[in-house]
Amino acid sequence: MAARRAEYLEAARREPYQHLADSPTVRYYTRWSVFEERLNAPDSRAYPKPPGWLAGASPGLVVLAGEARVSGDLGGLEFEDLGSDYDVLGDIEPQGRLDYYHAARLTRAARIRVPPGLRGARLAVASLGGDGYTGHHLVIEAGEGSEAELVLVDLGGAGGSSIKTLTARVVLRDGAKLVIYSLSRHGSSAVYRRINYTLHGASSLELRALYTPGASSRIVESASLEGTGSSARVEAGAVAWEGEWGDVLFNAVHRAPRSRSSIDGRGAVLDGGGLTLRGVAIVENRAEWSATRVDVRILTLGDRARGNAAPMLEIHTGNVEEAYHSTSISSIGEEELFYMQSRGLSPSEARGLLLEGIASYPGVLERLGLTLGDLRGAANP
Amino acid sequence: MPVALEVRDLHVRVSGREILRGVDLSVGYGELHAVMGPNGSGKTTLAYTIMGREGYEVMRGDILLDGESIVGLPPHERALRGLYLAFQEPPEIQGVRLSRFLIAVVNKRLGEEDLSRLGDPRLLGRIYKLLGEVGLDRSVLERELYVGFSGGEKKRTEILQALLLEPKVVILDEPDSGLDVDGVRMVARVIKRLRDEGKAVLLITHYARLFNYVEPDQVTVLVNGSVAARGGAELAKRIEEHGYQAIAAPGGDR
Ligand SMILES: Nc1ncnc2c1ncn2[C@@H]1O[C@H](COP(=O)(O)OP(=O)(O)O)[C@@H](O)[C@H]1O
Ligand SMILES: [Mg+2]
Repeated sequence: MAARRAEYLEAARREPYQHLADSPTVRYYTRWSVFEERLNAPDSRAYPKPPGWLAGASPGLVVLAGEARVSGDLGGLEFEDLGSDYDVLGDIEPQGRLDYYHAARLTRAARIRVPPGLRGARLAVASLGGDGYTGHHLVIEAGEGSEAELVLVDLGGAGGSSIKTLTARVVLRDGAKLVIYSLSRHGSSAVYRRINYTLHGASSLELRALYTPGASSRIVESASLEGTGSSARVEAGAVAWEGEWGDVLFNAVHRAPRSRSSIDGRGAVLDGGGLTLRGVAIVENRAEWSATRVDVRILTLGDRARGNAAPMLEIHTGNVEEAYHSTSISSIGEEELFYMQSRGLSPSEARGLLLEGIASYPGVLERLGLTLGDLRGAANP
Repeated sequence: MPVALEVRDLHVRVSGREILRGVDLSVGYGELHAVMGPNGSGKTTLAYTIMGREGYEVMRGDILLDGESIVGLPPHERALRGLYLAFQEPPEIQGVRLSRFLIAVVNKRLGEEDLSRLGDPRLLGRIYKLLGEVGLDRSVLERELYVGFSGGEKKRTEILQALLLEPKVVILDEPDSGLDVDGVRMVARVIKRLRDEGKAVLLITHYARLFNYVEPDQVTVLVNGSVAARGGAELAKRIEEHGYQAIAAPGGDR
């Protein structure tokens, strides 16, 4: 175990953060330097309490911190603590320094299974950051023909030097339906998050996510559509306040006929913040009659707000049912502002309304009974 | 009738160009004042200037609401003092659903701290009723403000807000353009109602067709940024029959 960790640590030193630059002009969208500064953080000792509103989110609750804790009614779902020596790289193919680093330092891994045919199960899972380094890994399996809803809350640690890594492998067996409400609040933490979704025949994934990044957040959500007729739908909102920097990347790879994916991302950046939303859809040769759409929009609210939006569509088959992509970056226009002012809203109220609108877009705040104001400023709202 | 809004010798520059060159007009409470004029004569510029849009520089003259100058006030303060402008072409506001927007602007007027919370559930009832009156389906409430709205839906939504917000002075910038006959009738009905309720109504319009349903108390014709003619309902009739050439004085001083 120790030998494997040492080996991964060694690999982490050798590996670059990413193998290819993101674009010829902007070298990287992720602020890797913030991770670099914090790599040597000691393991977290202190963790905050899970936020109070989490208790009401679902009948059952799994909390990952230094350990894994389960409470409430799991409603037929199966939980397994995989400990701290789990080999993450058996689940997640490493792509750069932080994957090895994560595998070497992992704090806790856990597995959640939705048994085949089980319907209506609901569970909340929280991954809490601590005061130093925290690493979590989740294995989530939705069995054949099952239907479940997960609330995934991913919080950064407290203090100005915490770092967290979170990976997950999510597998949807034939005909499984999984809805995930995902809330990320990273505060001042640096967070590396990578989730791979594998979709088998006719399964469907619905990911509704709201991201509020930390000092640097790198978030990758990748869906591999392996089964005929599988479908992945992502509706995401992101808000970056001052001093927060997020790079959110969605991938959908179509590997089977008649698979469908849609990625809708809406982001807002305030002065002194930075946000990148990227959507990449690849339709492989054998994925005939598939449909894919990527629509990513960012609104910058201030002269010092930095926004990037990039779509990519690669089609390797002659027969697609639909392929659509669109991105935009806009700032709040004088005309929109004047319009809202003409109804009695001050410029800051108008901006606030736009921001609320974007944050509410994926429906996560509504699901959790939160407002954007509840998230503002707090790593642990 | 007491004067609600008064515009005095208004000279306005936009992007370095003088667009309005000495406009005078006033609207009393319970009065309908129509401002007519060919395209590009400065009607929308007048509306924007009254509402206080940035970049619409008042070089000379004054704008008074209830006898007090509002020229120094930002648009939202003018709105809170009772001014309302129904836009000729309202902009798309992505990410903000109409329901959320209406709740926020009503809350603001009620002095609520949280603009997004629905305080009084009766507000929804009122909104539903008004939707019916202006001929809109309830489903528009869930749509992002003006994103993908048809021209007619935009006009109706602007009219709805004129009723919902209960302003003192209502400026309607070409509220009937792009509407079918039923739409025009609806707009006329709303104008009558606003006037009967004692509001001051400034109706900007290029065509006189609305006057088949509601008669203006005063008509001011703008040509090229200044007042070319003034009169009553008969002036609107003359324009409808003979066009703007008929009132641009022979010999033309433009
Ligand atoms: N933002 C602007 N910058 C420069 N010129 C403008 C601007 N807006 C309007 N104008 C000009 O001002 C004149 C009056 O326009 P407008 O007030 O829109 O007229 P109307 O509403 O009567 O059709 C036109 O010549 C138009 O080209
Ligand atoms: Mg106009």
